[in-house]
Amino acid sequence: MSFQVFAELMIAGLGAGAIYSMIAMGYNIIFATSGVLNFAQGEFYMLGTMVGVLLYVTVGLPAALALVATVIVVAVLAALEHPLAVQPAARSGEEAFGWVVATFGFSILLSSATAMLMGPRLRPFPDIIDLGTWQVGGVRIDGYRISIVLVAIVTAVALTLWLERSATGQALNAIHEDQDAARLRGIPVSRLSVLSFAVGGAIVAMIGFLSAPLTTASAAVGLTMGLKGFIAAALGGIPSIKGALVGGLLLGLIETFSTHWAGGSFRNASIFLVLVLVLAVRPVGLFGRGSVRAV
Amino acid sequence: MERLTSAGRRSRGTLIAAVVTVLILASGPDLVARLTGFVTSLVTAPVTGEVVLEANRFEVRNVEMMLIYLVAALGLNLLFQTGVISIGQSASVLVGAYTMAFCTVDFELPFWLSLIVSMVVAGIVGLVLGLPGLRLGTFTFVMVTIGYVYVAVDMVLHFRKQTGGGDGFANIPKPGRFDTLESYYWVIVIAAVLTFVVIRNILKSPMGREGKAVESNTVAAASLGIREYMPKLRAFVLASALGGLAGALYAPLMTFVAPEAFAINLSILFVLMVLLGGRGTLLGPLIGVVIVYRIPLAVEEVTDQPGDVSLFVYGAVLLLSVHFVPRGLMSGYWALRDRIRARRTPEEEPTPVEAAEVHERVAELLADWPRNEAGLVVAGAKKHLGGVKAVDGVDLAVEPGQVHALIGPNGSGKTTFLNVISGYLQADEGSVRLAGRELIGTRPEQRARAGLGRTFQTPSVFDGMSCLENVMTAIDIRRRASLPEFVIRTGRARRHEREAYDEAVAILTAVGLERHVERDVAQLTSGERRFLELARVIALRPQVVLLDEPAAGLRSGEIELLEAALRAIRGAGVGILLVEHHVDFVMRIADVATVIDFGQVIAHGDPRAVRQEPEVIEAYFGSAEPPSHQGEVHA
Repeated sequence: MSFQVFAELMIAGLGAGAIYSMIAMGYNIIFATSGVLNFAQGEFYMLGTMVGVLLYVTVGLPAALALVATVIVVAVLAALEHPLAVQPAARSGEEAFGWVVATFGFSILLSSATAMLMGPRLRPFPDIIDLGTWQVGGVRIDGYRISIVLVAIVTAVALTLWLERSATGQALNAIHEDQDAARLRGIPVSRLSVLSFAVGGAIVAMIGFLSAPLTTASAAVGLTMGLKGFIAAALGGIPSIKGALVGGLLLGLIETFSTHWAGGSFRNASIFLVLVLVLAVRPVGLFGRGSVRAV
Repeated sequence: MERLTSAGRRSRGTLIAAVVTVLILASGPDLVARLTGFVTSLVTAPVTGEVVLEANRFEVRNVEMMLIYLVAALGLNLLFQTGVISIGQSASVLVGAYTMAFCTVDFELPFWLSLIVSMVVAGIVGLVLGLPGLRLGTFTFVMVTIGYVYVAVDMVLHFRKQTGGGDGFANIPKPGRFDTLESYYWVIVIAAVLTFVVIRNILKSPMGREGKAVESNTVAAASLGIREYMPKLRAFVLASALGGLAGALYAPLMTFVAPEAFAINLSILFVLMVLLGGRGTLLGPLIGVVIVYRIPLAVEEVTDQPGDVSLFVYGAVLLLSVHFVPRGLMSGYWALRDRIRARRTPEEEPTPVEAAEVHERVAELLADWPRNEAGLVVAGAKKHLGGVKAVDGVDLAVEPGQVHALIGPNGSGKTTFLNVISGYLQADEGSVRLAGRELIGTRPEQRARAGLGRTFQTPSVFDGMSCLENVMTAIDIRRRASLPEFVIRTGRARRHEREAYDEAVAILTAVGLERHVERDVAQLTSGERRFLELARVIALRPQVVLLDEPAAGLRSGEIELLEAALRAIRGAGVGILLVEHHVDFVMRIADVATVIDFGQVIAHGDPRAVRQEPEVIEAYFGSAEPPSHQGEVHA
């Protein structure tokens, strides 16, 4: 493989990986507070692209305004998932069968409703901003793709700071450490769980909107993107934000290079193989913390 | 008392329903198609305004498809029973369907052989996937099963030459004497009925109880010698094989297979069928299939976007079922029936059990057990948790036929020590020998099988199972018959069921839980849950028992019964390591006591003498002042 091909695959892989990183961060922030791995996470990405199409293309809002409005709409939908799916599941006392099934049901509702309202076909998404391309040593570098990676890095840093420094972030951490103890200390656990769903939805919707010019918009991408985002999170170690960033970028690279070498038919096979292998060797993921099992 | 099967009260209704179903099926494709067409048109009559009575080929095919779905759903049901979620059943169906196509068309194998090969291939793929996959978390495994669907479809599309790719694989033959739509019906009916019987037999066997046990409480299951992984892997392989069977029946029915038929939507349909009816129940999948099968067909008639609208309905049904019937329609029905029954027949006052009776019965049960000679010997056990030396070099021996009390202030390391002995925590250093055998490095379930029983600070019983099933699960450890024997119910398998049943009832009676035998453990008081745990330990026939605060939360009458039971267990030559805060109780029953603090032994010897030692008093009170009311010392 020439250096030129290698470099271009790297850039493509990181660009795709940054999207997975953001979805993984969405998973993690929700898991940390509610203990739920939200099946609908990929649908928030899908909504980011499709609500984006609606507001930016169909309605014709300016890009910045359309982005903000899209993020708000999806955040509200994500927040609604808590009372509609997560709380009933918790009440049912069914453990994993409760929340997996409920968030899965919610996820199917979002994707099928979108397909019913906006049609199942792919929607083109025009460029939001032209950041140009550069030629460096024969390697074509797409400014927009690079900026997507930067968005993921900045988001990871911002989330980390927010969780570590702000009062709300600390409360979220306390809930993650011990939900009952947090409740006893007067932390509004339920309200903050709703908040974590909103934030988790907002991050993912944002990357959905921003990456739509590269990937196009469709009502059907949710499940696949949710899967990849989850694999990124699991590789990195749930619920580590740093892990989500690294796991996502790594997954993007694995996917791009394996497709280059083995062809598109083996793309899914290779990422699942990597997932199973990594977790077999290190069940908590790259940056996850092992916990002692006690009776 | 009415003779019960291991599935208890639920069996008679199930039997009637099964017989009725088989009779309907036996009436032949024409009548069944008429019937389903009629019932469906009745349900949709308010919208369409017409009732259909004549049979048509479309309905015949529908019935056959529904039975094929039932086979796949029954398999998935077995998996869901163990607490594993898969959204990948359609991939197993795909594997079965294409294997069938290859076998019958390319290799020209006979139909029946091809059917078996398809099942085996799908089962083997399931095994390969489950071996690493089931070590992952629940949610991760869900994702892996979705990946299975994606990869399976990718592979069909990739190996176009062999599979026909997106164009599909055509001309798959039906078997010689069943080569019409109507006659092929009988092939499917036989397969579906056989599958139903097999699933019934598995659910009612030790394997069924194991599956429920690991779903309900993996920690308790391990204490009874059940390794969480095995029932789950077994269920996944069986579920995959039955998915394969469904696919192998489907391919000749359609004579054509194409990958899009097995996309994720089909998997979701199966999930819905099992969950709506009630996972882990026998009739649940049947009810689920009958209801859910019609959704996509009904949707097709009212919209030009059938895929999306069906999915929307699936999503809505899933969410609503979590709201209203989280354990499925069958469980909802049982709960309703129990409530009505409870209102009709008020609970009679239980006759109190005498301590002497408990002693006598337990002693009788244990009379002919083989006694061990070496007991439990722990030497130099160390366990550090984080920076805390929770267990710091403890030596302790539990002799056969001895009650050894382990006491110490809160946080002194008692429970950690029990966990080190029973294998829930691995010791950093030291040795744990039971009957002369080294246990260090073995898992909790291996230690249970070696003869180590234990109870937990918070009673760990299997919720969602009856008291009877709880105890039978412990007895099952001694089964001789294998899974295939339980599937076809050989004499040996039936004898195990009978004997396990009788023994479980005897043990429950001995500890005073006679009137709860068939009840779900959810109906027990916290004290009764402790006695159920004790019954389970007795059923295990251990050499040594570890009891973690067995008297906590018991009323004084119950403590007397507990004491009687423990005396009988000790009398049978079983060693007991007792962690307990109730001082009077400990003083009455303990033969020897060891006091630990900060993970180290600070005193050892006769319980009464130990209590006077200055180190012990200091550990509890922070000074060498003897307490004024010794009865209130919380050991």
